[in-house]
Amino acid sequence: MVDSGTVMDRFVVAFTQGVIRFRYLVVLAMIVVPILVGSGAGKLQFSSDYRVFFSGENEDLENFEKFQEVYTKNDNFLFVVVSSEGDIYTKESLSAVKKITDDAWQIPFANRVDSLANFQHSYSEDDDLVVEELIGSADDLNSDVIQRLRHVADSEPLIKNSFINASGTAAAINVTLQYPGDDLSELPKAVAKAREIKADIEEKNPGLRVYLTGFSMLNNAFSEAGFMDTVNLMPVMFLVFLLALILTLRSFFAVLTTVVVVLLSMMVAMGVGGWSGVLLTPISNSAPIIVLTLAVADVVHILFTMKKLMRRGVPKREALIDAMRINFVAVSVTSLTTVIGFMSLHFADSPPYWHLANMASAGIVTAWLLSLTLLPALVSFFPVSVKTKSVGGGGRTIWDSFSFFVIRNAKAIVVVGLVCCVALASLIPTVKLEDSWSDYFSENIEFRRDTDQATKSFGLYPIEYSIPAIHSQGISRVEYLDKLEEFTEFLRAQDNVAHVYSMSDVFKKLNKNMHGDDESFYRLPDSHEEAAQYLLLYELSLPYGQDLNDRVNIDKSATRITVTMNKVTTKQTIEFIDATNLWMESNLPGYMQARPTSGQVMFSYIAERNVKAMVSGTLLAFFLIAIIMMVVLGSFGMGLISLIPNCLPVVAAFGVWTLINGAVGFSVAAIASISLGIVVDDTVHLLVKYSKARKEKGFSVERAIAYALNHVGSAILINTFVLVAGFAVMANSNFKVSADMGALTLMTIAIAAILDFLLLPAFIYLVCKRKEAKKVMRENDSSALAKAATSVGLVVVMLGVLSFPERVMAGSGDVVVKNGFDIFARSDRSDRDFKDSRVELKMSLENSAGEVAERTLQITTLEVADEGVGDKSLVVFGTPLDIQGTSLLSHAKILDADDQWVFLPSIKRVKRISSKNKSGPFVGSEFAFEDITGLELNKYAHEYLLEEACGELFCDVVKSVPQYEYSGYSFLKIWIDQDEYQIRQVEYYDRRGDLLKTLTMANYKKYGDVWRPQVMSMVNHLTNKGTTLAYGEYEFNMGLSDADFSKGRLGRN
Amino acid sequence: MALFRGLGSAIFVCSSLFVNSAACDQVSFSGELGGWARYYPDEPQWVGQEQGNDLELTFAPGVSWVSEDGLSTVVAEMFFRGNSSDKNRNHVDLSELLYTRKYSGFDISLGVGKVFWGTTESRHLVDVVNQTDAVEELKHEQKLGQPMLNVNVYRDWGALGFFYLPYFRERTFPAIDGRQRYEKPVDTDNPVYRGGGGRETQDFSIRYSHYVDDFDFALYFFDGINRAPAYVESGDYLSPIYYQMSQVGFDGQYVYDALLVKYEQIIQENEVERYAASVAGLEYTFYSVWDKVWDVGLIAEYLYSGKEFGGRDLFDDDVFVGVRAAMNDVADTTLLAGAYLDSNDGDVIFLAEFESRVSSRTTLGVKVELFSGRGSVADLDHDDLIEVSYKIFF
Repeated sequence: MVDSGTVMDRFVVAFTQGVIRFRYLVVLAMIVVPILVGSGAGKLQFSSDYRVFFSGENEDLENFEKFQEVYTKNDNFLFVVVSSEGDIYTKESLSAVKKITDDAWQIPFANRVDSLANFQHSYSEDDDLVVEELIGSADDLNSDVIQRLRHVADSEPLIKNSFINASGTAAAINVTLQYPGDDLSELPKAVAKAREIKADIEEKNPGLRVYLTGFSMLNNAFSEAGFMDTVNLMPVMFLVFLLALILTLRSFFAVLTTVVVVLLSMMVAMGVGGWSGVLLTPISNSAPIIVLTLAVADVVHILFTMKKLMRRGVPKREALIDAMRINFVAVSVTSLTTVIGFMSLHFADSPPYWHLANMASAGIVTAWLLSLTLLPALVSFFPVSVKTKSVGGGGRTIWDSFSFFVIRNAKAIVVVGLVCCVALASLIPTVKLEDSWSDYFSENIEFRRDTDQATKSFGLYPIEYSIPAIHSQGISRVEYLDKLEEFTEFLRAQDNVAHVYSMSDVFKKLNKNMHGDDESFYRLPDSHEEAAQYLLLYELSLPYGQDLNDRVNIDKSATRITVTMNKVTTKQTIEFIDATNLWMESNLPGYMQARPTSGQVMFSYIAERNVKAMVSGTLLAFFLIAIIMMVVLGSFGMGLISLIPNCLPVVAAFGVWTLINGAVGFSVAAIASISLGIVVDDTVHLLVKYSKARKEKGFSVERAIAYALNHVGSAILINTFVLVAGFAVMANSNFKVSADMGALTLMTIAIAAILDFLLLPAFIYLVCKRKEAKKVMRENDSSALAKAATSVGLVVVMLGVLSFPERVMAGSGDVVVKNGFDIFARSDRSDRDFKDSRVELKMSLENSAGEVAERTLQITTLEVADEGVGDKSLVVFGTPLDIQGTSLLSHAKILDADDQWVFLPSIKRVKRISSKNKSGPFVGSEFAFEDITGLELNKYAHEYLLEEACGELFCDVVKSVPQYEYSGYSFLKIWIDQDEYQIRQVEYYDRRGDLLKTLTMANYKKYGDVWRPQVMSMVNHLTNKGTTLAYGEYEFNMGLSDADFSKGRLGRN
Repeated sequence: MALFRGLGSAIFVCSSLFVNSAACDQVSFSGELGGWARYYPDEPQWVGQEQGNDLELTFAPGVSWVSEDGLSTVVAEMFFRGNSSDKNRNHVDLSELLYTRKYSGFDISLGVGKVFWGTTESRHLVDVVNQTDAVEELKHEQKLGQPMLNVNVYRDWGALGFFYLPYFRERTFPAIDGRQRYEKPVDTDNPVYRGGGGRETQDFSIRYSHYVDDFDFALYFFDGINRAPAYVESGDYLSPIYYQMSQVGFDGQYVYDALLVKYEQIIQENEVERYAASVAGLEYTFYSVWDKVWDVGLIAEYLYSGKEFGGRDLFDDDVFVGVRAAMNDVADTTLLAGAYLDSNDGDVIFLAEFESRVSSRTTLGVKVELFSGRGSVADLDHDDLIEVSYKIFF
């Protein structure tokens, strides 16, 4: 990234200048377009069906839909009547029940009403089956009738705990509805009527309380909670946000600009939702709050940098452009990571998360775009005044003191930080994954209050089974009924079961009725025929609207069992379901196996499903973000370090949550990926600045840390404040899923900020300092070596003077203290500056028996001018034919292992290979790879040994010690001639210091200014094998570039 | 347009080659003639299978052309195979006919080509562009040519590759008389396409690859037909079903001294399911062991797949352990041996490959595959194979 800095910088500067030049146009376009997109927000409507929480692929939903096709829809109102006197068996109460039962028919789309009043009571009269409503008319209710009623209700399992609670203090009326589903106003109409009935009863009977709940009320609550959030939270949010901006930016126009950018981003977020036909839920409805919170960050960073520059006396326009240049990469990357975090919500199983992902992402992208266009355009209009500070030394800032503190206590901070995080993380396994869907709503919502009351008397959470029989009419078979009864009994014995509605009870009652109401016949009929006849008789006696179609399917091959649970959590429900499934498997015949279904079942698994689905989403987000960090920071290690302050906060926040709450639900799935995308921002800003200080300014670790904190510390603090405030507001949502999400994200962000300020700099300091120390040691070593070399050289020269006096004379008394480094450098540099070269060569491998094998290869080299970095080279094989086209690309490094890739043409595979072993044999030859690509100056510490004759020339002999840790050689002896400064011979000594190989270079040829040997032969003294390289004509300066030596091009050359 | 002219002129130059070979010194021919002997020690297990011990000939002639300035290239290669016992093995394939033009910073390829993606050794999970010649071998390295338009852009922040793949080729499978097949042979004549695609599909992919320090990685998105079919039983055959899919893939490798850490991951979504699969592993090389020239690498990889529909993956929860030895001699002798161990049913697949050069133009290879188990590899249990190949290059 640093390399492209200049290109990127130039682009951003030119772009911003363009924006300022055409600012009228930019302001117009960047306000009009978002408003147009935002106008889609008008199309947004709240969903009125809890099924929107389940995707079309959700198996539980599919099962439930099938079930409802067979029986009846589960959309209902449940009126619960409670008397203040306690006993429900009073004329007043029962009349009210009767009245609600009758009035309920007027609720739009009602297709069935069930209560104590219209319960189809059967008894025998003169051997006839009589079926009639329990309360025919409210006027008939005298104490005798009421007494009889109480008796029936007490003994009838279909009534007890279903229409009357066990203690006889509350009555329930259940209204089933069939919505045509044509438009969203159906539900509110029905709810309005139901509320009217409730109000009417309460008004006329001051002694009675009526609670209204059921799935229709639940559906209604979703839209009401969303609406209340908008009404209650948005104004608070705006206030907090304005306050924060005014306090920190302290400039009217800066605040105004920020508000405009943020509002437009919010509008686009909602508009995108509207245009794409999203039905709002309380979850997706939190998008505007999230966008509002996140959009601030971009603006604050840019404005802050600008003001900082202006304070130093830079004129406004230049300060603005420079602020854009400085922040462009960080702002873009943070927006990208946040979008990735949100987009990974698409892995979740619940569509509202998808909607949230799309809307929030649209808002964030808009905020980014507007920050780059509208922001500079607007700022260029407005006056911005700052107090100019004298540039001078500046004195210590608070951030300087802070970074000093962190560095001094680095070890303690890292240890304490990690210990705290590990301790919090260790709490997580104790967290319970549980929810209760009526608790999704806060007590501000009427549904929650009424449901809490209603569940004191009645179960509310249905679990449905459709138990199949063996074939048509099979439900009257003896075995089926026996097993059904057994199952019913089992269910009733379970914890938390309030009521079980089973056809076995109906059959038992009918059997009793048909035997003159003899209690001893209150058992299942003895034969298939009897049961079938009774059922037929009973059906014929039922009035319209009270038929058995909601209990028995059309061809009588299955019956329905409804288990109504008390107020249970999802976890308890799952335990119940697991226990029941186990019982069914071992006790019911194969054909009677059935799976539970219902809204309760669906909600019980939704958290688990979402968590499971989000695992891959979160991992993917994590991965992408890690990679982005590595690319942006240009370093694998820094990328990894950056993950520490990004992942730990999520873990720690869950730990804290476990401590204070103990349970997580539906919302838990989304939090990790959302907050990861957000918290990474601070790290990006800090690390980008740190890397810049290290690489571009060459600061020490300590100074770079202080530099980074000075530059972005304040902006990060403000952002954290705004984010925490934003999510704190969200934590007050009336919808628990959103509230939990807000609270958990808030904690994550707060912890992340702490870690970013303390742990990250401390960690960087410890890691980088150690590396640096290692490097310094190495440098010291080599400078010591150089010193030693000089002194040794001096002694050698002195000896030389004594033993070869003539030669010293010939040098006309010019005694020069020779230095190994200089000699090698002169040789190396005389052959440099060739830009690039290409040569074909023939390699002949000869074994000790004199057998020769040949291979041809082509070597292309790109010179890298910096002597601290190695050259790039590409070796392509021509023969043997089976390896034709095999290529080896190497980006040499001086002190580290090279970057090497090999291309295998037969399968077109590019493979990064370990180049640790630079000295290993190259394609079976006596050359190591490092022997072929050349001897580079800084790879060795050079020491002058002596001079001696080499062939017709005089050579300086230099001892070169490899600086690369894993070199296979302990040292090399290199003969460099004194005329052309070319290497004539090299001896390689192995790690034990024994002579291993000798390389002879001959037939030097001059190409322009550079010399190249045309023949190189290597002899291995241990094996007596030899390899000769015969070079062809070199080509130089062909205009090759880095792209020709890039990994991507490998195999295309 | 320039692209087509280039391709046209390249073909022209090469077709006129025989008339005037002096003008065509940029053109080079190559070829590979292979003789294969296969031996199956066990009797076949399934109805219709023949013993299959046979000899086979393959011939792969190729021609390549490089323009004067070295920026344009055309490579072409055919593949012929003749075999005595499995009719599905006899085929002719245009495995490559690719025109490539290099520009500064990007290049364009048009034609039929082969692409390889990935880092791991035991399985090439992320490698999805080319169809596999599945009659060939276990590791799916033998590929059929894929028509493509490919643009690669090289920047200092990484390389971006765009692939437009306008034609789909079905996988080859052993015929009823062939060895190493499922209990029921795959009905290659009646493929089923689901989710929109057909042979004339318009697949595309975009791939970003880069490296940071010692960490190489790539990330891609692919939208098109899954090259690997699902199967449903229909009568005596398995019907191959080719699903339209969207896939995100990642592969990475980190080099730490002599240790390579490798990882491949895909997340695939098609009409019936969304699943993830991964391969993760290590390779550690001991350099200069014995005789001071051998390189010996130890490989351990874990393979996982969450695929559930249309036949589970053979490698759904497996461990691969292997050894690679390079003798670094004149003959470039290499040996790779390893075993896949299924952690669910304990089934084992053993694989060994040996290759060495005999003369400068010929190589000798030996491959051994052993299958053992009654679980996931039950269908292949009798199909242990010893194969000797001799190749002549010219």
